Amino acid sequence: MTSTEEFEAERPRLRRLAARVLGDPSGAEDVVQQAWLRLHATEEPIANLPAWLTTVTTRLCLDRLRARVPVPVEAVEEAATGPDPAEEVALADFVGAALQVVLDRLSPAERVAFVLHDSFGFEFATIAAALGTTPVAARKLASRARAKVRQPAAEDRLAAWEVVDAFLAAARQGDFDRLLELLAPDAGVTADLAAVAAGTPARIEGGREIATFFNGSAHAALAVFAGDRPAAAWYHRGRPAVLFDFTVVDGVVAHITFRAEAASLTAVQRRDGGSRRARPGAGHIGDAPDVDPGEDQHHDQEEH
Amino acid sequence: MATTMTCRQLGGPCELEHVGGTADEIIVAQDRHLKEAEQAGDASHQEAREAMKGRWRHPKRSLDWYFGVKRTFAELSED
Repeated sequence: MTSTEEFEAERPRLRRLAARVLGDPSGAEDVVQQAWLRLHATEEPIANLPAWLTTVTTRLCLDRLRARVPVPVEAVEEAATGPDPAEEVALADFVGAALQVVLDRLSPAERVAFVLHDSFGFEFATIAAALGTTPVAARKLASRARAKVRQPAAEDRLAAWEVVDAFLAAARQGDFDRLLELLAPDAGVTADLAAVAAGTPARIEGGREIATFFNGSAHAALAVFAGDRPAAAWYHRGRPAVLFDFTVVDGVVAHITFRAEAASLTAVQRRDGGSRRARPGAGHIGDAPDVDPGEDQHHDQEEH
Repeated sequence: MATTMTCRQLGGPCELEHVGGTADEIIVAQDRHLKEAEQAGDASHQEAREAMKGRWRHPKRSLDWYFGVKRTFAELSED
């Protein structure tokens, strides 16, 4: 079999690999064509043509990705060994649009490491050779990519007011797992002196502890804005009495501060979802009931 | 100016005096007193302790109590 015939046998696999890495079928064709040109330009003997073509194609993809997106250069270590023979490749023949969106969040090196390992089943030694780094570094790149892929995209994250409302709903429904999802693992609760006097805890540390505390509660909390921040509040005779001031970071609750000092309550205004209530003077007498009717359903529950 | 309120004025059973510059300080001191009484096994404070503990769950009643204490504090401060 001539090298041309061998290349043609490899072409579909290389095209799929490049298409997955680049997310661009026409770009993949160009890359494979470039690999073909490299093959005919090289004068070195090639012991394992599939492995050689995989490395060349991957590096060409990497060059394209780096040219396409201005991302920081990855700190890669020197390869401990030269290019390894390619492993058996698990071919994937479908590029999902959703996956492509996810891949766009990755740096070029992360993307190559992730796709080659998780989609095509390459060993890290092979990926390291293609990236010019060590297998350990390649493994870290894939691991980092995997972590990024698991995170919801910024555009998929709930708005801050949606997070607050989802948190309150989960608290009222006693949905402990949902509360955990909506809390950062290292989230915290603090309170000012007046809030503690009004009945809130002074401090809670940790997402699990906070979820435990809120689980089955917050029936009386009403949706408000605290300045520009979505929050919740207990009302007393039509006035905000205790504010639940949420800090939402990356779609999860990072902190809740209970505030009852008068100065903290002046900027409290009722809201409907993400919108302020149209009526001027919201947050004052007559604006809200003291508490919602669900409060009395929990008289027999224990305090957290 | 500091004002004094007793455990009894705050719903408890004894005459222990709490001194504070604000009603909030006095309520927090009473909360601490009730916790200590509970830990010491003092059954006479248990009812007040339970009422204090339950305030997170029952904001309507607890806020009525809270603002009532603040009013009492303000009246005592004026004397």
